[in-house]
Amino acid sequence: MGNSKLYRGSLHTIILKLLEEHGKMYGYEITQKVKEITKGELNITEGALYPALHKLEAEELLDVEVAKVENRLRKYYKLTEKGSKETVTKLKELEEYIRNMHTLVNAKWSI
Amino acid sequence: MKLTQEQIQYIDNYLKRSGVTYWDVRAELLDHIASAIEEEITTNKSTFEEALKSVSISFGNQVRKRYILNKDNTKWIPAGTFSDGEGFKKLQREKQKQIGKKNMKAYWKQVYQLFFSARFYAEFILMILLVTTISKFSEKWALGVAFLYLLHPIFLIAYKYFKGEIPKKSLHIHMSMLGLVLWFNLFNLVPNCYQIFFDTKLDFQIYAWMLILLYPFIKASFVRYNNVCKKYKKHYDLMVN
Repeated sequence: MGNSKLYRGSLHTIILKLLEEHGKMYGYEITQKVKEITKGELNITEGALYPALHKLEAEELLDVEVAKVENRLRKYYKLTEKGSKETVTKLKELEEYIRNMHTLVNAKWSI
Repeated sequence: MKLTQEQIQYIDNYLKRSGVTYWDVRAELLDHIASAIEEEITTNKSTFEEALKSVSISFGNQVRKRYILNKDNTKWIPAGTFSDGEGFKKLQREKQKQIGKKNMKAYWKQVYQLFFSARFYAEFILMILLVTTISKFSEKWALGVAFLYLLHPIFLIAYKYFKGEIPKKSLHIHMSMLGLVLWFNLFNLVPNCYQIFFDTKLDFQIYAWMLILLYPFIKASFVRYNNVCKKYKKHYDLMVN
């Protein structure tokens, strides 16, 4: 797994992007999806995922749907209208950040 | 491999023992843990206990060996493992903080919505009329009726609670009750402060103004509380049925 500190600031954007693509997802599904997409490179810990989900829910970016699956309750998260707009903004910010970092890392320093 | 009902119940009890006292917090954790255990058993061929231990650690808990006394109380014997539950409790505290923020937003939205409700104005005017009319005969009775008018939903809540229509041990419901408690404390705080500063009892006029001014905010707290109860009653019914 890569340096988790570098990913931490982008966790909200990662969650929003996944929900934008998959409609509704539950907590465990999100961790597995991230693992699958990054081929095991990035592992979102439970201790980071749930506070992030609850914060996004409190900010009204996510809505919750509860269903009984097999023999237990399952809480699905989905984007609200506000959340969809925020996803676009956050993705733009992230892309800009990546571009800037790329420029900085590849810059030829001269004194 | 799918977990049995007994194994699900075991995880639920494990979470309770780890300090996750609210069922609405446990429900989400339980689904995550059960899904992770199912995956672990299928892919790594682990036993249920091994998988539970591994998932519990991934939540930031410390898992320790448990010992109990034997029948003669002479020797400690191993009796499985237990989690210190610190990771779970941290999540519960974090959730509590976010519910507080969510409730605050929803509450002020509710206050705003009340001012667009004809029913609210009808109830508000009725209360003012009752207080002013009765106060012509007795100020004491006017205040009594006003408090009863303001507090009557408490009796309905108590009735529903004892009838089992309000799920117990729900973090969302407990948190939405906080708003009500805070507003009602003002009726205790203001008269006491007044008496300390002015050395005399709060007179009827100020009491009546307090009741009138606080009515929309208390009403909004009741509406919010009822909405949260209805929502989580549905979730609770879904879980137990």
